Amino acid sequence: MSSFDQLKTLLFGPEQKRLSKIDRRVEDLEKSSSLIAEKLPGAIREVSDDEEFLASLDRPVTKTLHQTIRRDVNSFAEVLFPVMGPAIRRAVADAMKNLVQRINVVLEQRFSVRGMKWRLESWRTGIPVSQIILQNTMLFSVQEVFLIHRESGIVIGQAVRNPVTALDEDAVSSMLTAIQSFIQDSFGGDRNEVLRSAELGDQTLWVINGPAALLACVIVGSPPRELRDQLMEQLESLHGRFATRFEQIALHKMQDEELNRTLELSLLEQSQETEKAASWISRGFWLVAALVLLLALIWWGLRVSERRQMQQTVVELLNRQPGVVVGQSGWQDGILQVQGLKDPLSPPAAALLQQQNLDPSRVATEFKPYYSLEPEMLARRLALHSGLANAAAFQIQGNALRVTAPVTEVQANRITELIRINPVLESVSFETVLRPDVPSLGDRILDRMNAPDSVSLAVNDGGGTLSGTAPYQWIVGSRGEYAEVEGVRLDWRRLWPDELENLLPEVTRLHETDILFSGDLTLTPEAPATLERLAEDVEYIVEESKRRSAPLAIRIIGATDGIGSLTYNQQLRMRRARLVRDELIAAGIDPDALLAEGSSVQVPSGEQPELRRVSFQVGY
Amino acid sequence: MQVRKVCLLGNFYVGKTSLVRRFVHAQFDEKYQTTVGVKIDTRVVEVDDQAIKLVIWDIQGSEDVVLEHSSYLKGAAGFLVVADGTRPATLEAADQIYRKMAEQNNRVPTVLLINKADLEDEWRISDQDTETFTSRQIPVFHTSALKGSNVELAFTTLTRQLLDK
Repeated sequence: MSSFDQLKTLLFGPEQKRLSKIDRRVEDLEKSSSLIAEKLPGAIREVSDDEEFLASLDRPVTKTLHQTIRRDVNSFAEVLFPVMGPAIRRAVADAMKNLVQRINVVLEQRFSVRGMKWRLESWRTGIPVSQIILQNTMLFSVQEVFLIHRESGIVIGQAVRNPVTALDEDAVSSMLTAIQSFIQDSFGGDRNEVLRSAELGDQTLWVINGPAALLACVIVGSPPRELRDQLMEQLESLHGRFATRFEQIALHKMQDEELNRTLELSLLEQSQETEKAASWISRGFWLVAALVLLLALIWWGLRVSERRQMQQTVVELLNRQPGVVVGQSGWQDGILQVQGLKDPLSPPAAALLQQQNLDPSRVATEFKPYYSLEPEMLARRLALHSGLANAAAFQIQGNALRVTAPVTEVQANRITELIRINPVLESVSFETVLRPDVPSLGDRILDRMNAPDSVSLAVNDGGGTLSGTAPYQWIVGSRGEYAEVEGVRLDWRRLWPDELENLLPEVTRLHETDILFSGDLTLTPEAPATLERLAEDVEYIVEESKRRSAPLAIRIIGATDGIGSLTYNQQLRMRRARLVRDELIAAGIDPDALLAEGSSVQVPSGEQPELRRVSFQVGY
Repeated sequence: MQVRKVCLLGNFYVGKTSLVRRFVHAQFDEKYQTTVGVKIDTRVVEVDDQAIKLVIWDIQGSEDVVLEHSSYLKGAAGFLVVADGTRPATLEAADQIYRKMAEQNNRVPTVLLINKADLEDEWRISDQDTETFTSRQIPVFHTSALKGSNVELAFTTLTRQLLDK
């Protein structure tokens, strides 16, 4: 050891010892810290479940976190954003679900035109009302999406369905960022309060805010609230995957394929297909309904038209008919009701309708009778009253009548008489009046007796025979006075009273019946039966004529053939008549009405059995 | 292609909007400036064979705007501060603006434009007055929005600085 070293030891010996001691300690410390660093992870792993160790770490770790977060909030928010978003949203979604259910109930009870429409659609399709409401309110399409760098306002990424904006996307996004800032600055408030949406007509701009970038979405239609959550999820996912590159992408305008592909997922759309399908069904329904309505209208129109046509035809037909005036007409329960006036001489309406092939069962007529003054009806009426069969012979012009058919003087007089009481006709002219140069003897006699027209007279050499019918009183009153006129002896027996016209069958039968005899007063075997039958007719004639104040008498005329003397035969004729009269009286007939007499007719001599008889003649 | 946001700042009537109109094809109507306080235009500039798209925020108003609407300045890659050569007060305002800006945005490339070079006879600003800017390595240009002089140069100079970053 040199003297200098000895001196050092003498002077600094204790210090040197301390120094080397410190050196060793430092060396040991370095060794042990590297040893600890080596052992620490394993040691921590070993005590990670140790309660004491965790408790001792609790305070320093918490403090450190507090400090770090306070120093750099944004970094933490950025890191936590992708994690916290979904968690918060899930919690909110659960709360919302209950709320939505309550809203649905309210909506279901709500009464509005739109609500009714949805309800009707629900009833038609069987889909719950709430679902229909959702369908109708969730129709939208995200047309364009911009991912914008929050700080610089530069577009990071873009996805477009149909380009909506015509301007430079960076200018637009910057302007949007500027407006965002402007609103924040102008209305103060929290930095986290941001512009969320803007609307222009059918287009909506939604801004979804993230810590490093915001998503600007141009939406057409009515976006539902859920869409915002979906877009938020997209933004979170974009942040999660690309946040570190946002600024770089912005500044260098790099086309990040992956980012753009992710961004395209944000072009969400609620298809209107279901609505379209429904509207097709709806359209089909309305089409069928319209068709049915159209057919119904056509059917109704045709029916109305057919009825109107028929009504017109019927009314015209009836009005055209002389002696018919239609007052009013109309349909009631499928029957055409026609009311008006009708001359009884006009033909029945049903017959007219049938002639025109119209169904009379569809027409009900109600006519009041009236006296038509139409020329046709006047002619018909004149023909009826004048005894002139042809109504066409009466031609009427204005108030003048011209008769074209030949008429007798009597008919002409009658027509003239009818004209006198007619309110329309004033004059009459006849083309031909049959005027005999010299009135016949018969006519003269009838005129003189003032005989009814129904009486006719045939004049011959032997005298005149009256025939036809006449009032009983006239016959009874005139036959005494006019037994002979102008030298003609009149036979009144063929003239029959008007009153007893209905007895003619019985009288005719009586006149045609004879009671035959086989011997003087012996009846033929058939005669009693004939007599019995005949008695009934006789009784009816006698009693009925009495009842009608025109009593008739029955002459019972006995006859014989030419065998035997005249005197004997005359007696025999009388006796035969009396025999029959007695039989009739025995049958209960009034004796006053029965006159027995012998025939005064001459008969040729010889046997003629058919003349051995009694015949009858009714007289008064 | 790169994209950069640049902000145009300066006092009233210094000619900011006229300068931009010289430089870009207008995108928005100028009424935006009066309503929102900012008008945005874009232009692609080619510098050293490199294309860069400038999104120019023409921000209305005085130095107060930097405080009022500081969010407008966020994310800006560069600034164009404009003063009026005939009004020294506008240069003072530009100085204040720059200082406030610098507080919020560290070392952002900036250029100073002294506008209305066409009225140089009436100028009341000397090179001495702009020394505060030149000492900060901020390029100064005398521009005329009316004649267009130096406008392109000012913008391209700023653009080159943006590229360097």
